[in-house]
Formats: sequence, C-alpha cells, structure tokens
Amino acid sequence: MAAAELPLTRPVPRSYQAVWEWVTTTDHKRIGLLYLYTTFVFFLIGGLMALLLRTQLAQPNNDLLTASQYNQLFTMHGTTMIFLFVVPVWSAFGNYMLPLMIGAKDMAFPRINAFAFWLIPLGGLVMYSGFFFGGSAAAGWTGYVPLTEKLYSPQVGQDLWILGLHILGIASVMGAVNFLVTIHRMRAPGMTWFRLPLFVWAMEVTSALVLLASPFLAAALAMVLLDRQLGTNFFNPSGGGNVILYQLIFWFYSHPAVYIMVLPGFGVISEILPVFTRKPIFGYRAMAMSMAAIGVLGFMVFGHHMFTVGMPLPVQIFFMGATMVIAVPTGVKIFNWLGTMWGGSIRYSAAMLFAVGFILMFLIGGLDGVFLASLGIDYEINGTYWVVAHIHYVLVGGSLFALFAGLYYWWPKMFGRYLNERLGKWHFWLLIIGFNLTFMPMHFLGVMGMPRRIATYGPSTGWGPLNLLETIGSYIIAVAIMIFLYNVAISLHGPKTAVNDPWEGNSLEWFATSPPPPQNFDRELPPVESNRPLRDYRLSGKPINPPGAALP
Amino acid sequence: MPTLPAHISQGIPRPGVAIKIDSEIGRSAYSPAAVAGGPVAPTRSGGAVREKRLNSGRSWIGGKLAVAGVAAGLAAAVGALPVFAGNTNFLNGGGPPVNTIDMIWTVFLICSIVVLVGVGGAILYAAIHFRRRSPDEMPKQVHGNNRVELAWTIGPLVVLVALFVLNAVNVGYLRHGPSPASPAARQEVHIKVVGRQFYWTFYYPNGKYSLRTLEIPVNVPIEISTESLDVIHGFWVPQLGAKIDALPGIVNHAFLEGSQVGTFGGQCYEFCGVGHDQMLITVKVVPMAQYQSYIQHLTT
Repeated sequence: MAAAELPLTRPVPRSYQAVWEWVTTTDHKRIGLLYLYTTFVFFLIGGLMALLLRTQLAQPNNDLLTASQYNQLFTMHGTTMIFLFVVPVWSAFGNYMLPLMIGAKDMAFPRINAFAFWLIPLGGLVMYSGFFFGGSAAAGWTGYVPLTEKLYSPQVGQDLWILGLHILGIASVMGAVNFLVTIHRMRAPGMTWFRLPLFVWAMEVTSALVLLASPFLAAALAMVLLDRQLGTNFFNPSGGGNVILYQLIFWFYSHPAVYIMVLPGFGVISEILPVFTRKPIFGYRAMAMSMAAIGVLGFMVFGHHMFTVGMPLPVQIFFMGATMVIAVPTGVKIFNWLGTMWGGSIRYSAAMLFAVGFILMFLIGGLDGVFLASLGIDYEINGTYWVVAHIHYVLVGGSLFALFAGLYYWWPKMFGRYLNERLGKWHFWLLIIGFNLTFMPMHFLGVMGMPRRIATYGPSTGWGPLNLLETIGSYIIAVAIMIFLYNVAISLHGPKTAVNDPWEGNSLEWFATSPPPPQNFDRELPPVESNRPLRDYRLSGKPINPPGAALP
Repeated sequence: MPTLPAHISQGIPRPGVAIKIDSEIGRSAYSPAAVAGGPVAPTRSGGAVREKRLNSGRSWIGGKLAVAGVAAGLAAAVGALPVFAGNTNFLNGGGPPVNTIDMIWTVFLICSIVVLVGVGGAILYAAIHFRRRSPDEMPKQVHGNNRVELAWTIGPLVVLVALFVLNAVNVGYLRHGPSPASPAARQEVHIKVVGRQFYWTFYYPNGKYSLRTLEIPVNVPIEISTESLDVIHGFWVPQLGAKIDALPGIVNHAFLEGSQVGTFGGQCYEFCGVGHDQMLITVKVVPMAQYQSYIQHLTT
C-alpha cells in the first residue's frame, strides 16, 4: 500500500501547488477540514449579523439599522446559521471521523464527496451576492409566500436566495448518499450495527432524513421560483393558488431538518461521555433506537409550526400529540446520558464541560419546546420571542455546544496538536453565561408579547431592559468565540505533539496517528468485538500511544 | 427522576434485576500496575478509599458552577420582575379564553419546573459528585438497566398524555368560543378583521369600520374572522384571546372576550415586510352602550 511511503503529514500549503492540492483533493480528511473551515467562516459571518441585530434591539426605537437592513440581516442570519453552518458543519466531523470510526480508508464516493463540498461555498456566495444586486432576501429564513412572491419581494436577491438553497440542497443530498453507502458497505470486519459508534448511528439517521426530506424543500422553492419568474400561480391566491401549501411542504422538510441539525450532536455527546466517564454508554440500544424513533417521528410533527394558520382542530390535535410523543425518545436520550455520568469517573477536559453544558441546555430547549407543542399555550407564544429562545436553546445550546465539545475532543486527531485546556474552560464558561444571558430572557419577552422579527419596538412596551440584557449577553458570546479563535491560533502555531489516543478513546479513530496518514491506518486494525474496540485493545495490554508521549 | 437507585449508582446487583456489567469490574486498566497484572489501586467503586483533593483544580470547577448558578439566578430574577406587567402579557389575562390559556400554562410551568429541577439537579449532582478523584480509578461498567430505562420511557409518556388531554379538551373553546347552545353565544358580536401592509381594519356588524383601534363590548364573546389583502399577517391581542393568521384568499375564524373594561395591546406576529413592527393593534374593551354609540359614529 502506498500509505507507508507517504509522509504522515503534508507541509502547510504555502504555494499555488499546495492550494491546488486542496482544491482537487478527494481525501475525506481534507474534505472534512474544508467543511470545517468553510462553515466556520459562515458561522462568524452569521454571528456578526447577530451582533448587529442585537445592537439594533438594545434599546427602544433604535435607528442603527433601517427596517429594510434589519430584515435582510435577520433573514441572512437565520439562513446562514442553518443552511451554511449547522447543517453542513456536521459533514466536517462526518467526513473526517466517520470513515476512521468504522475502520475505512475513505468515503465510498470520494469525488462526489469533493463535489458536494464545493457546492457549499458556491451556494453561500450565490445567496450572499444578493447584497450587491439591490438587497438580499428579506422574508425570513422560512421564506413564507406570498411575501416572497415578486409583487412583495421584487429584488433579485430573493431569487438568488432560492438558487443558493437549491445548490446547498444538492450538496446535502449527495453528502447523505455518500454517508449512507459508506456506513452500509465499508465497516470494518466485526463492526455489526450494534457495535457502531453512536456518532455513526446519528449520521445514518441524519443522512436518511436528508435524503427523504430535502426534495420537499427543493419542490417548495422551485414552485416559488416558478411563481416569481414564469408567472405560475402555485401560491398566488388571485390565481387560485394556496399560501398554506407552501408552509406544508416547507415544514415537511424543515421539521426533519431540525433533527438533521441536532442528531449528529447527540452522536458526538454519546461518543464523549463514555470516554470522559470511563463508562460504557448507558443503554446503547435505546440510544440508537431512540435516534431512529426521532427520525421517524420527525416526519409526523411538522404541523406544529402551523397551529395558528387555521388548520382543522382534529389535525392540530394530531400534530400536538405527535409532537409530545417525540419528547419521549428525546427524554430517553437525556436520561441515558445522565445514566452514563452516574457512578462514572468524570474527567473535565473542555470537551466534557461542553458535553455537560449541552445536556443541561438541551434539557431547557426540550422543556420550552413542550410549551410550544401545547395548542393552548402556542396560541399565545407562537411567533414570539419564545420561539426564538427555543430554537436557540436547541441549535446553540444543543448543536453549537455539541460542536465545540466535538472540536475539543477531536482536535488532536484532526490537527496533531492540542487546544489549550485553560482557554477552553474560559471559552466554555463565558459561552454558557453569555448564552443564557442572551436567550433565557427571550422566554420572558415572548410571554410579555414581543413578536419575533420586529426591527424595533416602542418604549412603552417595557421590553427595553431585557433586550439590553440580551445584547450584553450576545457580546459575552462574541468574547467567548474570540477566545476560541485565539486558542485555535496558538494551537496551530505550536508543535505537533498529539499522541494517537490522548483521551483513552473507545473507537477506532484513536488507533490512527494524529493526524492520520492518507488511507488512514498504517497498521492492522484491532479486532472489533464490542462497541468499544479500542478499549478492548488497550485492556489487552497492547500500546496505542508511543511510550513517553505527552498527554493533554 | 432526580436520583438513580443505589444498586445502579454503586453497581450492586439486586435480585431479579439484570444489570449488564463487563467482566473486569473494579480493575483499573489505566494504572501501570494493572496493565502489568499487579495489584489494583483502590478505587471509589471499591468503596473504601476516596482520594483527598490534591489540587485546586477540583474546587475551581465547583466554584465556577456556583458562579454560573448565581448568574443564572440573577438573570431569572431580573427577567421575572416584569413578567406579569404590560398590556400585551397573556399571563395578565383579561377574559375567559386567556384565563383558560393561563390555567394550561400554569400546569405546564409546574410540570416543567419539577422536571428541570429534578433532572437538571440530577445532572448537576452527577457532574459534580462523580468527578475523577484519582487518575487510575475505574468505575463499574454498567451498560444499562432495562427496568429503569422502561420507567423513564413510560413515566414521561404518562405525564405527556395528561398534558395532551388538558389541551385537547380546551382547544375547541379557545378556537371557536362558547358552544352555540349556551346563552352567552346568542349575543355574540361578529367583527371582520382585515390585514394589509401595514395596518389593520376592523369591520363592525353595522358595516362601518375603524383603523388600527378596535372597540368591543365587555363580557361578550366576539367572533373574529380574519383575512388579508396582501401577504400573511397575524392578528393577536395577547390578553383577550388566541392568535390567528390573517391569510390572503382564506378566511380564518377566532374569538376574543374581555371581562374587564380597559385598553389592551397587540401587534402583528407574522413577519409581513418592512412595516411589520409598525402594525400595532389597540383594543378598547368598553360597556355595551358605549360600544353601540362608538360604532354608530364611525365612517362607512
């Protein structure tokens, strides 16, 4: 095999030759890193937009932004964070770690993999280019008709937004097919379905959701585009169209998309907890099956986004019931994570801190979601800041905390260097304090009657103090992110000292060198006889790390 | 579910309960002695020896948790002060439908606080109590417990079914108002609400209309029908009734009722363009005579 002859790591790209190697790479690890870099840039852009939005809302009748600017920014903030950050960022871990975790040399379709990645920045650029052609889309990330019809949103930015989302959807579907085939066909000998790492289970369910749901988003957007450009009347009431049809199709994608955004995070947490508690995951099968159950139920609850559109009551009651049922497998996951920690030997590296923070924040996000599932309460808090609080507890407290947990956990494997643990702890505590200061008061504002997506509000509403508190919180979040970036910078300038297995890992990626060579494994894989093959290998007394190596 | 039974936390098998445990219980794979087959260092799961705190790193975590707790408490206190204030706050309910919603809210709030304190407290307790005390300790390898897992599947389901029923029996009233047979329904007033960018028009039963401000009689169920002339808007008066979308091409129905005289606020909750934040609603609940006089003097 060629692996032995190649150097373990390649030099930092400094010339066009090196750039060309990155552009043309089909190596799953490099593509994973490209996903990580790209989506993180989009995260920073989306975060800057959020800071502008929060600054505008810091006091009543603020005029930092015009309503038109505010609408463009909140639309692009939501679209960026969802479609350019949280959805594709899991492909970073999926691409880098999934083949390593199942003992494969690469993804099943390396070229499709590369193509799918390059569609992500393309889609983002198409979407953002609206800013230069008379304004971007400004109808919210949900893009409800008829506001997105030509009559009400004449700017070409709305068309570019649709085209950008189409491109991103194609990328998602190609990535999903690739993950599914890789998981189904390329597992190491002995790695049965119930010996798979739970992150791989999460990617399996996620990919199935992407494959089944994404065409619905494409269909809804295509109909809007036809209405706008060719004068069809899918959603135009005066031509016999129905504005609710769009919402039905859109949410049939976008509710499963919530699980597309958070299930891989569940997988990451389920990897990290056993390692840092030195215990097996509590109830492995229940963990895998609950993800599958969430995947199936996720298609049956989309109507809960539409409790105020006037659907027949029996339909509303069905969706309320289905939504409450989905709290059960979600609760099982939280209880099983608690069961994993219980009686464990918990080591608080930054990764574990983020994992515990994730469980607590996701618990809050789950509970405030049950309020939204309740028809009676939803008739009041639908469309208010309560919804904004909920989505951020799930996507920031959930997905983002899991993402940072995964980054601190897998960073040594991906870059051959450690992140500074002390800075990591500062990052965690500032983030969790800033996050709660920003988003907890949104629950109260929702109760106090503040609708989402308003560019400003009057002083007599009484919403000013809490909004100021939230804005302060958002700046604390920004400081936390800057500490993380500083941590990344000093890590990447340091020497490569990371060992193969810095955390006493359970899964096969820790058997490879850090970072792994092309083709991933330069020695024979350990046998897979449980869902913790590397632990079995370590217990058998065989060395994984070179003697005398530095541990974090 | 605040705590786990002792037989799980300590890994003691209980008769009749199958606990899946690895074979190498209590052996530390991480100390050099264990790898070499030598004597095993005492561990917490062995029960006897608990390492003293050797460095300040441990208390650092506890201290930070306390700081975070205080910060969260302060945030909650600051937030809780204005929660019942304002005339757009549905917890400050102004009539029978919103009182019903507030009753449902209270039940949900109690349940979720119990779960948050119980489960969140258990997570925090586990996070602090089960910190690693010595580098080579090895906890019991508990893979799961079918009975406990079944309990925390069925338990939440039962609670959720109860919450579901609580909503399902009330939702018809919240959407459609009192049943047509009741005396209250006979004097129902019907008002047509029309949304457009960026203001509301209210059409009264006598064919006259008002802009932005709606006057309704006190203690009378008001049947609302909503529609829009352009994009989707949302009609919402938090203290008087359930919100409902105003859709182009589709007529929706809802109902309001105020049981006290006063002025109530609200605004469009469905994003509708650059003037979304300007699309305010003021509802004056007045005695019937004043209402009758008001609508007589409106323009047609």
